[in-house]
Order: sequence, then structure tokens, then C-alpha cells
Amino acid sequence: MRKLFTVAREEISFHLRQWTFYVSLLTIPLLFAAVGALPRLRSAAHQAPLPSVETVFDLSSEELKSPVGIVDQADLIRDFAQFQPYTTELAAAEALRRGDIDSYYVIAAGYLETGQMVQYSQNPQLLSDSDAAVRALLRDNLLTSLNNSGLKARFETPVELVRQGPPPPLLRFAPADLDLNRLIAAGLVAGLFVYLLGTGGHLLLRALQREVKAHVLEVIVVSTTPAQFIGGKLLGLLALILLQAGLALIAGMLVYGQNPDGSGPAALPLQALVLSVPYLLLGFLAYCALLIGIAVLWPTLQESALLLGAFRLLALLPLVGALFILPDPNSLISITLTLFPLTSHLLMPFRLLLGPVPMWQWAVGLIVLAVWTGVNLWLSMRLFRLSSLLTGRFVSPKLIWQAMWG
Amino acid sequence: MRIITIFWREYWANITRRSYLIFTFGFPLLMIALPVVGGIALALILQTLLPPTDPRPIGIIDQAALLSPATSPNDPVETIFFDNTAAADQSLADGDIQAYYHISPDYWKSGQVIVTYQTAPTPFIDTMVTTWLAAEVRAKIPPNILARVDTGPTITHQGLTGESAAFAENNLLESIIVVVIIYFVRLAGSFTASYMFDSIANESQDRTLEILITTVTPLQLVAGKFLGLLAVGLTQLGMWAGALLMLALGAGYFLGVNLLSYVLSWEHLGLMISALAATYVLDQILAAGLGLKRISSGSGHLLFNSVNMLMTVILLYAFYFLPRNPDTLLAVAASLFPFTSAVVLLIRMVTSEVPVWQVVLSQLLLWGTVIGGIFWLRRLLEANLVAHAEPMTWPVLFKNGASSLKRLAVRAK
Repeated sequence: MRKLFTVAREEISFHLRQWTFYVSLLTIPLLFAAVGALPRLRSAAHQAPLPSVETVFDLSSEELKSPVGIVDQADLIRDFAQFQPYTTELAAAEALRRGDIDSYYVIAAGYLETGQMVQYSQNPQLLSDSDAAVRALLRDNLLTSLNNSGLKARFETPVELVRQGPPPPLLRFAPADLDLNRLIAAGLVAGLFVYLLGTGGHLLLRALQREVKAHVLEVIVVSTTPAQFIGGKLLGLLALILLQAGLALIAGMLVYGQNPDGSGPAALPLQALVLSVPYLLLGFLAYCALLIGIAVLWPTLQESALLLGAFRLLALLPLVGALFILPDPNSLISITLTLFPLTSHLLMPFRLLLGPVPMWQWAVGLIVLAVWTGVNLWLSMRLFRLSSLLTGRFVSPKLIWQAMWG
Repeated sequence: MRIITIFWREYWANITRRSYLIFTFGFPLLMIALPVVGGIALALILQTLLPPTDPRPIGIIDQAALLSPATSPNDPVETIFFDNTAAADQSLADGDIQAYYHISPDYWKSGQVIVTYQTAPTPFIDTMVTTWLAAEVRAKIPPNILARVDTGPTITHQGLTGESAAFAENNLLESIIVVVIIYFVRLAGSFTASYMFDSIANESQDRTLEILITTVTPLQLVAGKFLGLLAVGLTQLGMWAGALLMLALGAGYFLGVNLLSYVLSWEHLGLMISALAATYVLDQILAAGLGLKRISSGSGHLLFNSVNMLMTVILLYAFYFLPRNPDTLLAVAASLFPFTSAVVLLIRMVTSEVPVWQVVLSQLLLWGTVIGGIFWLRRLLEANLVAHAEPMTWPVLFKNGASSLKRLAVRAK
């Protein structure tokens, strides 16, 4: 046990000597807390006398921001609305040169057949902010030309259903009475847990790489057992991850739910967080145990780093289960997902933060996850006996079999 | 000859690695599998949310004389026409129909359709009725007006003079394709650069190459390694691009479109190849340079990740803001700055009219930086790989960069 703690202490002290560790230690809680203040920042930005920034998604406005002309050679437009009509192209071009208008559109004589239209401007570009307005102008005038107000109205809104009977069930991912702020808070905590899993995995692989590169793994394996070595590494990293998680959650508790208008993530309930932390810890241990297995089976460092990248993507998959939980947190599929060990470490905290969970479900989920974590740790320690990370060792199926059952 | 030996060793050792093969073939599969899995999950969720559709027919009372049994979609349920509400009510009470839709005589004015039921029909049945009605309404509009109202105008944007550039709707597709190509080439470039960084950083830490230095010159070594790793990345990129091209050609063959001639006759093809190739090489030079710096305590990774993050910000700017304002001072400056020019200039080219001098200057600066970067790499190799250099610190990193530039300037004189 003493050796296990020695390995853990060395692992912790190594990271405490890195300035990058302190950067991430401070950055993550700050970012996590800052999300709570976003609505206030957004409100301040709206009130600030700054011009709005145009993006490719702001092209749907049918309001003109500057004067624009129209030359209607097809004789389709009856109401020019916000546009300035010109009878000839020459007159419009002259107005453009004088700066009376920013651009002008020419509706070709055969427009109904070809649909062709040209916009002339001094600086032509693919995306023009007056295109939506000219499209609306043409659509309105074409429909008005039908001389049938009913047809125009029904083309735009074909049906207004009037129901005589009980209201139909609403098709929605989340129940109508679900507090959106609570959902945001739950999503943020689940996101934090995903981040911590990814960081923990990265630190673990780096820790193994460090020993291999320094060629000291040979020395370590003769003086410690796999349980002491892996246990020490995991204990050290677990302490660091707990520190980061604790700081982030405390920062969130201080900031969330504090906006005067009630916007932003809801306050984090202490009881739900306390019940969530064991899931994070067990999930972290199971994840790291799987990573050790990968590092042992694919001892080439770049290969294991590549697989870590793929693993990070896979670690996001349980979050898809949140979509099943949202409509009904107490449905059979929700309960199954929060008890299943591959998804429970993220989805049980998510469900706990959305609303009350029966205590027996919390306990069963924790027991199943603990068993799963124990099996993973046992497997990883057996595999570690392969000593594949030692210099000159190559992994073969026979060696794997011997390590597992020999 | 030695340079070829180093090149080939680096190239062959890497392209036969398991992880390289897994990544090269697995990444495209992952890109396909993720949306498929996501789509299936979403479909499953929707299925669990929706109540099952009642298979019984629905009734229709059409007092606006708009619908007829001949045009009924009958999917997902069949329809039965009634003359009045009393008959429909009776049928509903008997359980022969699950609901009936009553189109009132003032439908054209009010648009109202009254649906009567005991248990609400599923959204699929509501959609069947509303789509059916909308189709009948559309049938009353003259086809030429309907076509124009549906598709809207095809707008071409052009300048007042005859020789100015023109941008039509098909340029929108062109710009989307350009954005996708830029994104994937930059993505592939960052993968290779990451590998280049790790590979060079590891070897410079192992110091095994110092033995090699006694038999080859630093230039031979760096050129062989660099070209080998560059070829590894280009092989990966070539395989992905080749697969995409085959898919596009196959699709074009079945659709009767000669995509190849369209690609080859594209006016910006030469510029695109030049800009993306130069940027790709520049990424690798930067990665190799940072790898050679052997910055202590993982800061090398941090710096490399920061450079990658900067590239992501540039991509966001170029995709999100640039097409709306392609001629601002920031856009022109970013078109000339070598590390951003490929992305910004190419998107400006397909969305606006770029002066020729900007295109020429941008390319000169880009390729000039590539050549300068190769000299910088050589100097770094001499300074950091052979002579046991002190671990790099941030101030020294910038000081070295400035003094290297001064030395280059003196040499140029």
C-alpha cells in the first residue's frame, strides 16, 4: 500500500510542477462559471452602441438597409414598396453612378419564362443583403397579379386546423414543464464530466509515455506490482481530476442561478452534485482502465495516442442517450440507460440534475458501475503483466493469453 | 543518394504503420458512420415520441369542392367522403373512421378546416390532409407563375462595366465546394502537421539522429525526413481525394454530367492548387520547426495547439463573416498574410471581385514564406539537433526568430 501511495504522490507532484497544469486548473472553472454569466454579457452587448455584425446567416431580412432601384422590363411589379422604380437601365445606372442608390435590379422581359434577373452595383459580390427583399417583392407582386385574394392567401397558408376534440399530444423532446435553465445546468455538468474524462485519459497516456521514454519502466516493474503501479497512477490522477472537478463545480455553484432575470443555467443543487460525484469517479476509473488496456495492446505511443482520439469521440456517444431521457426521465429506456455501466457515469448525473431519481435506482446504478469498473481494473492489471511497454517487447496473441489466464 | 535513403525509410516506415492505415481508411468511414448512427438514434427517438398511427380511415366533408376521391393520397390511411356532418358523426361514433376533416364553404376566405375526433389523429394524418389541400390550391395557379413563385429569380450580381466579374447562383455551389475542399485540406494538413511535430520532437529528444549526422549533412537529413513525412501526408490526402474523385465521377456518370471537365475548366483551379499546396507545406515546416525547438514541459504541444486554434479561428472568420464583407481591410490583410491567405483569398475569389495585384502579391508572399521557412528549418536543425541547445523558453523563441530573420537579410544583401 505504501508503494501505491508513493507512485500516486510522485504522479501528483509531477503535475504540480507543470505550469500548464495550473493554466488548465484555472481555465476550466473560469470557463464553466463564465457560461452562467453569458446571458448578462449578451444583454450588455445588446445594450452597447455597437453596430451589428453581418454573417452569412443574416441574409433573410426583407428590409432594405440602403436605397435600391428596380428596372421592370417584364412589367410585373405593381407595388414597388421600398424599392425605387426606374423606367430604363440607363436612368438606373446614372442614379447608381451619382450614388443615389447602392445597386439596382433588372427584371428581364422574359422573366416569367427564364427567371433571370441581374443586380448591378459598383462592388458586385455573391451574397447581397437586398436579394431577400427583391425575392419577396417579386413573389408578392406575382401572387397579387392572380386577381384572387383567396388564392393568394391559401397559397401562403393552405390550412388552419380547428380541432374539435381533446388537444393532441405535443411532439417535443422535452416535457413542456421542464425548466430550461435546469436543462442547461445539467448539460453543462455532463459536458464538464466528458471533458474531465478526456483530460484524465490524456494525462494517463502521457504518464505511461513518460516512464517508457525515460526507460525507467523496467526499474518500476521489478519494484512494484501492477496493482501498485496502476493503482498509484490512477489514484494520483483521480486526485487531480477531483481537484479540477471540485473547483469547477464550486465556481458553477457560486455563479449559476444568480442572474436577476432568471436567465442562464439554474443553480446547481448540492444534493444532486454529491450524488453525481461517485458516478464521475467510477466512470473515470473504468475509462482509464480501458485506456491502460489500449496502451498495453498497442504499445507504440503514437498509435495509442491515435486510439485515445477515437476513444474521446466514443466517450461522447453516451450523451446521445440524453435525448432519450429528456422526453420522459422515468421511462424504461431512461432507467436502463442510467443503470447501464457504459452510459450511467454521464447519464445518471444528467438525470439527477433534471429531477429526483428513486434512491434504489441510484444505488443499483452505482453498484453495477462499481462492478464494471472493478472488472475493467482487473483486466487492465492482468494485461499489464504483458510488460509490452518494456523495451524490446512485442505483443502476440499467445502472450496476451498467458498474461490474462496464466 | 543518402537523401533518398532517408526519404524512403521515413516514408515506408510510416505508411506501413498500423495506426496510419487504420486512420487513413478509418477516418472516412468514421465521417460516414457518425451521421448515420446519429440519424438512426434520432429516428429511434422520434419513433418513441410518436403515438402509433390508427389504421382506420378518415372522413372528408368538402363543402369547398376542392378535393376528390381520385386525388386522395390514401397514405398512411384511406379516406371516405361524406356529404354532411351528421353522416360523418355517425360513422365516427360507430368507430368506422378515426376522425373527419370538414372543409367549410368559406375555405378560400378563412382557410379553416375543422377536424373532429375522439382521439387526435397523428401528425402524419394531419400532414396528409394539409399537403393534399395545398396541392389542390397550387393546381389553380398558372404554371409559369407557380414556377417563378416556387423557385424565385436566379439573380446574377455584376458590375457596371462589361469586364467586371459576375456572380450567379451556380457560384454559390462553387463557393460551398471551395469551402468544403479548404476545410478538408486544412484538416488533413493539421493531422500531418501534428504527426510531423510529434515525430521530429521525439527524434530530437531521443538524440539518435546525432549518430546519423556523422554520415549525412544536416540539410540532407532534414530534407530527407521532411520530404518523407510530407509524402506520407500527401499519400493520405491523395487517397482521400482519389476516393472522393471516384465517387464524384461515378455519380456524374450516372447523372450524365462530366464533372471532370467542369473541374478542369474551373477558372480558379490553378490558384487553388498553388495556395493550398503552399499552405500545406508551410504547415509542415512550422510543425517541424516547433518540433525541433524541443520546448520543455509540454509547451511545444501547447504552442502547436495554439497555432492550430488560430487556424480554426481563421476558418470561422472566412466561412462565417467573409462572404458578407469580402473587401474590408481585414479581408485584404488576411488575403496577403501567408498563414491565412489560402483560406481567405480563395473564399474572396469565389464571392467577390479581387484585384489582380492582391492575388499576385498574396502568392509571392506565400511561396516566399515557404522558401524562407525551409532555410529557417535548416538553421534550426543546426542549432537544436546537433549542438545540445538549452531548452527553449518563450522569449528565446521570439529572439531566435528575429535574429534568424536578420541573418537572412544580411545574407540576401
